[in-house]
Amino acid sequence: MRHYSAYSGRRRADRKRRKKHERKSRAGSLGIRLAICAALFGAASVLRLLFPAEAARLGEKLNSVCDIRSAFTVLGEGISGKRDFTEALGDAYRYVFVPDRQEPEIEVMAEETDTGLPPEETPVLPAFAEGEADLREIPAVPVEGKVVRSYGYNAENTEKTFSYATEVETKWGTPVCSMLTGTVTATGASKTKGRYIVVSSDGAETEYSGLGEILAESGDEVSAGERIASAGDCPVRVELITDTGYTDPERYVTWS
Amino acid sequence: MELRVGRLAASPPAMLIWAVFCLWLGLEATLMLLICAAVHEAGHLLAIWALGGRVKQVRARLLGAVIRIERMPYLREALASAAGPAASMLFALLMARKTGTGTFHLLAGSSAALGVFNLLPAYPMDGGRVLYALLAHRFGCEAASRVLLITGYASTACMAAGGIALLRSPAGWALLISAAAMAIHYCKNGRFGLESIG
Repeated sequence: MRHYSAYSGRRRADRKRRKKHERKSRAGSLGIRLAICAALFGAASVLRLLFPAEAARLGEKLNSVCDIRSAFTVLGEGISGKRDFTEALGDAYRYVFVPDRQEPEIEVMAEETDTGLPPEETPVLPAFAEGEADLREIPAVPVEGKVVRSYGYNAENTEKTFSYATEVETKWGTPVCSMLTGTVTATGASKTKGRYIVVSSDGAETEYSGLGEILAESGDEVSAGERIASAGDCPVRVELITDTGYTDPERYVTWS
Repeated sequence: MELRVGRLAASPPAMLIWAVFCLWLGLEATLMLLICAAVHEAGHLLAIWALGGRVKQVRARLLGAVIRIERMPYLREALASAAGPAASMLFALLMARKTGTGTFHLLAGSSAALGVFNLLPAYPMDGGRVLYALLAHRFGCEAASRVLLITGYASTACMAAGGIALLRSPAGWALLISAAAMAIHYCKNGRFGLESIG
């Protein structure tokens, strides 16, 4: 009995010592693990911060293969009843599982806002008079940047390729604002135009396409100069349609 | 080799996958996914607390968090397991009602996806746990184990088949990897580790 208790006493002391040692080493390695973990996340954020354009491009590439974010967002829209649920499910499936998918047309309103567009193969010259239709307000600059292609015939384009849009090259993520006060009547993405948004105003309509991210929704009231989207990798195309038809946005807005 | 602070723990693959998410989706979207996961786990924890259970450990793993608890009666365990998906669904509906930016839709969508995925009737998932607890309550744990083994293998096989069918997209690979992880789980715990829900 005495022997046993002596033995157990020693064992207890042993265990105590081992425990102390263990706790020490565990605390040490916990610090290391925390550091590794922090480095992992830090690297991710630092990479994004240092190379925003590259990170964005990489993200875009990954997203073009598997866009979890869009899939979940579409799913959420399906649940909220904003879109047909089965249709949303189908889109979510496409976003996740179909790598070379065509961007689904996310026409929110069935309103035919874009049928006014002439077919791209056969541009029809808009008949605009020299005296322009008056806009009801002073338009805001929709996006800061450099005009790389103007409305009308282009110098390098002696053929009959007519640009209906002013194309503005800008940095990724630059805010895109509405030129005029009005209502967003359509947002979506198409194969030819990329992501686009249409704003209907009193007496005019503006369309912004080739966008990176759309921040407004169909039905939103926007004022002139209010941010509605962000620029993506390609130039932002700005189109202005007044009562007289397609009009040169640069007649109303000057890009520096 | 895992990160452990108090009763919270995270496995290295889980940390890695979240870091990758961070790089891919951006901090904001990653945070949103984390919020959804937190809501889900909060549902479990709340239910466990309300049913008088004791939490031993909350551990973030590759396929989601696992909450280890002390054994509870089967019916209570079923309720506690069901609370997670229920919380996710409730959260999704709540977020979906908030009209506005895509953020809420993103939250709603990911929360719903999380809830539905967890209802798979395979053991590590909540659906499997609920099924097991109910069956065990009614028919005893032997029969429940047998049924769960079948549903588990069936779900794993379905996932693997789906993954193979969709191999041209990385999500197909992800499905395949999840299926493999589940298969490994089955091989390792030929009998189910019954003290955990998550």
